[in-house]
Amino acid sequence: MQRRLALQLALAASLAVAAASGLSAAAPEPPDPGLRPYPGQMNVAQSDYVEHCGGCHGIGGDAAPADLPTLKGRVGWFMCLPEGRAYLMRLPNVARSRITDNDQLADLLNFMVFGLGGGSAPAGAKPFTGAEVAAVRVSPFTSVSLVQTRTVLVEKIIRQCGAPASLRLMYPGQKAAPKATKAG
Amino acid sequence: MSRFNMDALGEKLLRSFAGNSSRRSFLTKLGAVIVAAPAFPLLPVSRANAAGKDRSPEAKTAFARNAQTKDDKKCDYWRYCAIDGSLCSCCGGGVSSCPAGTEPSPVSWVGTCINPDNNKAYLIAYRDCCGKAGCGQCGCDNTDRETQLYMPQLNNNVIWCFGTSSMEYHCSTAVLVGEAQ
Repeated sequence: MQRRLALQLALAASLAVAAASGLSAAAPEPPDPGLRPYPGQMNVAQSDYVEHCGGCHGIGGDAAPADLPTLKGRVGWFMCLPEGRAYLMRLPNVARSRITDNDQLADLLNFMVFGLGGGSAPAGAKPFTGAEVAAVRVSPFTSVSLVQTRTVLVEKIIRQCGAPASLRLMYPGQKAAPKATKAG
Repeated sequence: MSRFNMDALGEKLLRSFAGNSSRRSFLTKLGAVIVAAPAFPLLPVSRANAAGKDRSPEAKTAFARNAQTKDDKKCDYWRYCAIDGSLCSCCGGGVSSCPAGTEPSPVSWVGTCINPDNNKAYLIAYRDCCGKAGCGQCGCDNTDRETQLYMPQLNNNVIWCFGTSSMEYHCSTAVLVGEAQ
């Protein structure tokens, strides 16, 4: 709590300085075009996402046409079923993340689901908590096919929650659905 | 009798070892090693874990201590702390742009580098430029925060030309994403 407050204070202070001097944050480098979905200063969850997930899933949650799931505008659908929630926490790179602090990992997941996911999370979906993450991350998906697990889950989400059929694909507009036989 | 008596040689060696070393000194050394061992994280993953979020100057790597901010065509330019490959700035591109005739990969490897001018840590995405034969100029291999191949998402030897029309690797860029928190 204290850390968040300090962060907000720092953010407010930097905004005030920027406004007073009429300059944007004093970055020593010119901005890189095309790769700046985080204007201004990132918070801890955003920074964690970029550091631990953004390489493969894309800095802004979209790495199409690479063959892996796009998060932007669609990952929130998984929050509509309890096993969908658990699925997100049990993915090996989440459950076994180098982020050992469960509250910090919950913050990252909430940024992913509600931030990158945009409006795709169902209304009233509860944010992840550290206690929930702690309880579920101890049983990661280890000896199952991730592609197959996702395929089965996505069918349920389409049927029960009315998610678009494109959720079957790794990204909307992908040419062929991933084969369930492929090793996860 | 053979001229070379291995049995006698072995006996002599063992007897001199037994006569010249004491059991207590061995136990002392063994004890010291056991007590001191936890102070040195030995495996690369636990070493990377220990580095954690410490952005203080004391936690700087050798690369960060010697990095410069002027010449992006040299391997010790600060943004290249975890780059592995040819610098696109030497291949007709820029520090964050691909040379003509190549396309940037939509996936990348993300490193954390310290800018020596302000001592802040920044997230850097190493995007490979793909679709043309290897450039071969300015080959660099810096390894800050990198771990072994058994954690592929933290290994920079992987060629990240996925999702591009060709997997042929040309060179690597270092795109500044933002300040690490």
